[in-house]
Amino acid sequence: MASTIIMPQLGETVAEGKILTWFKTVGEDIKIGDRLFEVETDKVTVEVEAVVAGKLTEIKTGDGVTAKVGAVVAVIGGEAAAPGIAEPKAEAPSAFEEVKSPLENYGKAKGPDGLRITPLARRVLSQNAADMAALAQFASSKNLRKIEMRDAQAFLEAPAVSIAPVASAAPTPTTHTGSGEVITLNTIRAKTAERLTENWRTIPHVFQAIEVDFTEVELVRKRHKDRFKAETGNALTFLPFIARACCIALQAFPHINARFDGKALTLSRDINLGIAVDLNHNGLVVPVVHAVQDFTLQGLAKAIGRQIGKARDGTLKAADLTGGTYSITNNGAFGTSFTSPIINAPQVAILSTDAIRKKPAVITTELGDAIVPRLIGMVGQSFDHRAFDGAYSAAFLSKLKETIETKKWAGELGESI
Amino acid sequence: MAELSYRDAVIRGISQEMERDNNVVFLGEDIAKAGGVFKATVGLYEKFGPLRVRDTPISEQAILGAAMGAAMTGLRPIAEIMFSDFIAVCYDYIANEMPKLAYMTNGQMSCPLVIRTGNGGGLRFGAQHSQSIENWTMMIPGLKVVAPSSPVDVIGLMAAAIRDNNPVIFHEHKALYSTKGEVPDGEIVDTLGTAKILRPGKDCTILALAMMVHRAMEAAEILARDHGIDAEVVDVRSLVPLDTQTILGSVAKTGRLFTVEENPRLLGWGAEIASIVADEAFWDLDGPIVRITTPHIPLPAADHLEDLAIPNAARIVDKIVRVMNG
Repeated sequence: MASTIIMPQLGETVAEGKILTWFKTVGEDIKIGDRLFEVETDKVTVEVEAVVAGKLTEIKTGDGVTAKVGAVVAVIGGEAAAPGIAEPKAEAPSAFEEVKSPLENYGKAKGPDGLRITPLARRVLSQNAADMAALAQFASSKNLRKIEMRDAQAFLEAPAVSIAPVASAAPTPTTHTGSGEVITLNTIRAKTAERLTENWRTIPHVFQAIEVDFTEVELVRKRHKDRFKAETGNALTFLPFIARACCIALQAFPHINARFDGKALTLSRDINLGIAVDLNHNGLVVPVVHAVQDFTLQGLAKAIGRQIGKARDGTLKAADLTGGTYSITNNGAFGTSFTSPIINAPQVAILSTDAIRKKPAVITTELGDAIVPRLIGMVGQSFDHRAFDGAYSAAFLSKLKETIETKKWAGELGESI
Repeated sequence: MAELSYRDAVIRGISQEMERDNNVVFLGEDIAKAGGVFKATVGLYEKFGPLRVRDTPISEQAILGAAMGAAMTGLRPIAEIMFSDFIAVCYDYIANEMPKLAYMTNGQMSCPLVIRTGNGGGLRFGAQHSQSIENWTMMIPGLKVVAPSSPVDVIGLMAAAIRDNNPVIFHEHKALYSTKGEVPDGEIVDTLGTAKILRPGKDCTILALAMMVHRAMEAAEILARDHGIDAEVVDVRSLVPLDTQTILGSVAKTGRLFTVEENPRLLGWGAEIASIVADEAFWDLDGPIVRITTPHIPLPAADHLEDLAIPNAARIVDKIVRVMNG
């Protein structure tokens, strides 16, 4: 009875592997557990052991040759070299899979204080980044024991309780005699300096930028900004639009939403966005909004608003600062054209956005080309060249641009489109 | 456009297909000269003659055996089983032979036939002549199962069933034969496996079949008028294939699902749909899936008891209001 040896699946996203070395030759007797060959994928190098015993009768994929995952690379225990053994086709989804269960989870059936929440309400609350503690308060104020969609809606539409920002004390400058003022770094500044130096020294940075037309975004933003401000207390800026577009583009280019340790790139299922926040020129923090891949624009805007608020109030907890998989830095307020940011390791890329302003642009109309004023901004990305190449990053930026320019944003803000 | 009864729609549907295709033949008990015990086949014998419209002995097995043989040798028979309860008498053909033929012969043979049968209660016929047995037929792989609620659907789905190359069980509801509806002129052909949204709504979805469609529609009007609940009523029409796209789409819109079923509760058709919806649309559900069904009992013949057993508009309204506003 012949057994086939197939190229193993080494990691979820790996499609093929290269056999570096065979440790056995045709004709050798193989025992279970014997090392057969060493295989290299774009992520790892591993040795493959025999799981059946018998004579190695054929090697189909030799040293240095690449084979698709699932392809037959050798035969153990065949009569002789058995030519023409059909390679199994790549595994297709089963035709018998009649029902598809959703894989996402939007939280427990019981919320804080034993509050029961229906699945739909849970999904919508989660996608809108609802504050569950506030929900529990809302429920108790309305005497609700369970939350259905209508209650969730009422909660989400209720104006946010405004919290007065706490003024942070400026660090006291230490004066030295002689040569002007000397400023001792505060803890945040010192920490930032240390990390930036390390990242700049160890990561081969490449910067790319793309021009994005925000005219359509602005039309939608104008229609909703007053309502949004009234409902959430936050301004509806360009940032959430860019962040939401990032979530969409990152799902198409998963290698960018990852962590790199110098050897392996670990892709992240969740998108955890770090948002760089300047603390009145007294340092920089990067609070993270977690698992935002399915958030709507509105939910994302609220979640980002909340984290920025915490950063400014100095109430960020450790969990708010960890787990980031991609970062965005925004210097638009000061009118800069583009910024080449430093990557926040172990992340592999960081996005920068700058001023968005009217510029003459050439558009093609039925009557020929015309120069018109459009809202244009530069969106740039620094990436770690060890993790992937320029074409991949460029394709991501192109997808990001396309998403920002053509997505039906109105739908995400509750307009029917 | 003309108003037609459900009964006359059966005649028109069969007639339309027999005129179109000489291979369509029709057989059953008292269907020829007598015009059927429910008078749903009147005039077909006169129109198409004794060769194509045949009375049979009182043997359900003989009817289906003959129909299956005819289908295997090139005809497209329509067989009538007078009361759907009698499906149990000839279940071997329905469960083991007809739906498996194409598979057992590796596609060398097919079984293009339609079994028409009078299904459902409400007419005081008692426990052996009133059952809703759509779930008995739904569970067999290889069969298609339809149950129209209106004259126009009777004609269109009948044509689709006759033209289909698989065995199709066609449940006509006995209590609907006298109901009427508008039917367009000319040939009518529908598509198997499609549900119809009869009343769009935003607050909850009510799935119903055959006679229950009418009761669900009545309930929906009361819900809107008296309770401010805007219900969407979906006529499932076809249990196999099942139009899950329409059903899941409706649930995604309303977040609430109710089924109104005439078959007894245990393993009724709605149980399967509830399972599919709980599986695929869990995160769209804003409340429990609730089934409103006949209880798991042999159906009584006494008027007031039969009326209590089978779901009616008042019971549907009561249940939905309690669940939605509770």
